[in-house]
Amino acid sequence: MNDLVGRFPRTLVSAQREDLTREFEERLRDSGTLAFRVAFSVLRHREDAEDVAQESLGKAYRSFAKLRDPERFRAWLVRMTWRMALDRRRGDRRRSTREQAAIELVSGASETSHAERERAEHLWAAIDSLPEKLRLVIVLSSIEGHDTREVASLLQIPEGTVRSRLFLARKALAEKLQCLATR
Amino acid sequence: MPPDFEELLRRQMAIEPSPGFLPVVRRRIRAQPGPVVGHWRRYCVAGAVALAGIVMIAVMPFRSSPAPLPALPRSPQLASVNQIPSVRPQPLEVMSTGALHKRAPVSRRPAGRVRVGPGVLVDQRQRAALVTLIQMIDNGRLSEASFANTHPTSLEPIRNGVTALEVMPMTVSPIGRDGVLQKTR
Repeated sequence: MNDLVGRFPRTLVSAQREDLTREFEERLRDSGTLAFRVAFSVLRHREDAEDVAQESLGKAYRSFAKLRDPERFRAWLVRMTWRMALDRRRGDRRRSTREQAAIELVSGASETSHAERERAEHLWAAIDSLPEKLRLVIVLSSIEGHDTREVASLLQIPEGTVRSRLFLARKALAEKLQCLATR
Repeated sequence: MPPDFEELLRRQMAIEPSPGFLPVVRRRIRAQPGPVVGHWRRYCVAGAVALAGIVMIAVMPFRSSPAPLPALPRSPQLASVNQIPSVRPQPLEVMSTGALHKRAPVSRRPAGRVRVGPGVLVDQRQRAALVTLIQMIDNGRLSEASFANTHPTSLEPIRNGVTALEVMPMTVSPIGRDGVLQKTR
């Protein structure tokens, strides 16, 4: 009898865990690339971005019992990945050399002209100089398929706030890019 | 922002992870202990602790209050003076717990803090008389005029059982020549 009583909650917990793992697999397919792209927007290095995104997804899995709502999960994942990527970037002293390599990698060094690489460098330098709130909004909205509503849902802020931040970010970027172009 | 830069940013952000990205995530997840489930257990424990706390708080004031006094008899019967034992009126607390005091250790409470209610000092005979008086007034057996004509027996001198006081003779020795030793002030 005692054995049965002891086994029952354990079976319940393992069944619940299996359900959670199955659900998490769905989220992983939906949001894995998003996590990678968010990390990449900060680190601009494929391997580092993958590493950070994997770590962040691992954390999400551990806390998945609290993050079963898809919208909440994606918002949590974006915030967590962004934070972790920033931490990684701060701790990485070899960032500048890696960034150069990353831009070449993204643009496709063999195909892209020197001018385009330079433009990409300017763009990321301008984005990096933005305040964090504006930076996150411009990066998320530039990901394909993300409209204002989606960005608002990811950041859990009103759509109006997203629009105003986007406006400010674009304005600041235009000024900075013009500045960089005239140098 | 210039449109060409916006397009460039879109292209930059369209980067895809390597094919090995998701398998590595799955491998990492498998190596982990798993999502934390069973929050209900924590909630149950927290709820039980909270409930115990509430019960303790609710019970504490009643435990610290003194023991309730024994209730007065509802219909006291008038007893004759000879039937009621002649005992000195004692505090009710001492009377009620007298049996316990034989075995229990002496209370550590200071004597000054013993609570003695006003009813404790009333003698049993006085109490019976008062009850009878109240009953008689309620029944209409005692009128105001007859009550005014009554003579309180307590004012009469006690005759039975009290012997006359006797003052023993006192011898006083005369003071000597040197007088008596007195304390200096």
